[in-house]
Amino acid sequence: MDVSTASAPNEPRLRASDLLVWSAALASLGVCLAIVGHIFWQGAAALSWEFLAAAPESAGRAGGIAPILVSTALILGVCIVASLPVGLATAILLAEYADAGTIFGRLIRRSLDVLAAVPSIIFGMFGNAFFAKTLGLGFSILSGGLTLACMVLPLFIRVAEEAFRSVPAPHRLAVASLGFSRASAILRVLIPLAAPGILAGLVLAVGRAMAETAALLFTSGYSDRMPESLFDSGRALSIHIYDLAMNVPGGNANAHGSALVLIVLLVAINLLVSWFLHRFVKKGFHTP
Amino acid sequence: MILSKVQFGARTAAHRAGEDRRAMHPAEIVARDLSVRYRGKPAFAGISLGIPAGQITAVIGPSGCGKTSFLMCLNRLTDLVPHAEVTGSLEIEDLDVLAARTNLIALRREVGMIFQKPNPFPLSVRRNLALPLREHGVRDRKRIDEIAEGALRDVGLWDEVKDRLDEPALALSGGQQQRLCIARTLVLRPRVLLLDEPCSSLDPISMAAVEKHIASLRGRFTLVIVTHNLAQARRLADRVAFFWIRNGTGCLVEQGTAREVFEAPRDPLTEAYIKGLEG
Ligand SMILES: Nc1ncnc2c1ncn2[C@@H]1O[C@H](COP(=O)(O)OP(=O)(O)OP(=O)(O)O)[C@@H](O)[C@H]1O
Ligand SMILES: [Mg+2]
Repeated sequence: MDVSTASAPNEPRLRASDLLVWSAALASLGVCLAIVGHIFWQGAAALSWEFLAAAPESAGRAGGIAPILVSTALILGVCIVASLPVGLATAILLAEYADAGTIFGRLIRRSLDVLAAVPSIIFGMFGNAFFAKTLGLGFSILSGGLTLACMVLPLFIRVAEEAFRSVPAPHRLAVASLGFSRASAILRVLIPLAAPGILAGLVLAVGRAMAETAALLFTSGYSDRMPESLFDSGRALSIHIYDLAMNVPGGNANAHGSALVLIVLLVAINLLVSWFLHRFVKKGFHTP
Repeated sequence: MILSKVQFGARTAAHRAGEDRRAMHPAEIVARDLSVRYRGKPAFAGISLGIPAGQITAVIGPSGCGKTSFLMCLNRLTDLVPHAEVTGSLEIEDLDVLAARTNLIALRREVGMIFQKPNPFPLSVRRNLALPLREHGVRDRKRIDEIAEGALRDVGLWDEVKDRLDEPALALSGGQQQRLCIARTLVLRPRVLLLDEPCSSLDPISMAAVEKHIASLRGRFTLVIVTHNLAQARRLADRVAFFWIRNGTGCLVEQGTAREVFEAPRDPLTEAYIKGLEG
């Protein structure tokens, strides 16, 4: 065989490896389209303003998902409020105080890796034992949100730490040479400079939390009533979908409707943030 | 007139914040047997150098001879470099720079530094100048604006940016950014200004503007400027320190007035370096 033809760039020959790569790429695209298409196809029929604004009836077969949306928002709110300060502080500690080499830094990093690998059902069990029972929060939005916070913390911390580490060295030199104390360098300059990355981490975390079912089963519970406080049990969207699809005969239509809402919300949050980041990064975050 | 008002403003603000009562005059620097090691390997060693107050001292020498490291000792930025070790003695007026108890925040307020690449914060022009002032206890908006205007005038930027104060600093040209960085340091009324190749990333016209305004700071500040541009050193410097590398370690070969070093160098190395670079 002539070697030169095999490597000749001007002879477009479809090789087996090309075929493999392309078909693999097309397959994953196909799977994604199939899932989204299926949900749209099946869910669009259930979707309406009433569906979003009404309470569920007959275990969710009829009616809408208003209380579920409220519960979901509250659970995510608790999750953000709890994970943001803790995660930010840990990220700062790892990026600015603990050198990669120190035992302390290594210890925290290692335990975060372990935490990230723990299956979410385990978080659910832990949340049930600790938040619901030990702390006496019971099946509540608070228990659920805090459990989710524990679950998304490793992800958020990793991304936020990276954001701090990627603040350019010249800015660090500038801050130091202007006589900023370490605390105010972090507070006034590093956090604003790292803000886009921190935000990205937060969105990833929220997306992960929003899609979570197992961690909420034993913590925020199933109640599909409109929650009156954070101590009430509340049903998250993903739990609602799970329940309708698995436990409620005839709940399929509304399960797909809810799934469509979930997907639209996830996509919307991602789009919103990437648009925001784009503006933020391009124009510089200068407030007069 | 505006300047004196601004200086007065800065002084009263500092007094109000109760942080210092220093007189606003340039400071003299004396280094004795100064050395820096990175992970045990010396970057430069045994440098003894006097830098008179209010003059412009140029530090020249080949790449890697420790010029940047030398500047970083003067405001202890070396503390930020892991495994960097500074030995010898270094005094700025009566302040022992290398002492462990030295207040780094106060030191860096007195000894400002400008870097090779302009590094304004990605904020508005106004906020770039306000940030360090706020950090050092000046809170009054009007006073901040006054001091900022004075600093911008000092670097010849006021007329160019007075209508763009709330626009992003990164939208300025390179030369304007570098002058903004100088202004950002000047708002703190330092006594010493360290400039590490401040013009090397600029085009000739921007360079001329920056250089002109550096020259205008003579007398009010002690300036130490690192430059690879000997013509610039000739134009600017009152005194010159020539560094060289021996056995992989930086050392000081010659120091003196600009005239002495450029017209009648004592050391053949200096002569060769100056001749070599000037053709
Ligand atoms: N952070 C650091 N860690 C280890 N070695 C360093 C560090 N910074 C500088 N050095 C070394 O110290 C020596 C002096 O470096 P320095 O940057 O002070 O030289 P310079 O005269 O400013 O050079 P240039 O003209 O290229 O800017 C060089 O050999 C350099 O490799
Ligand atoms: Mg240098």
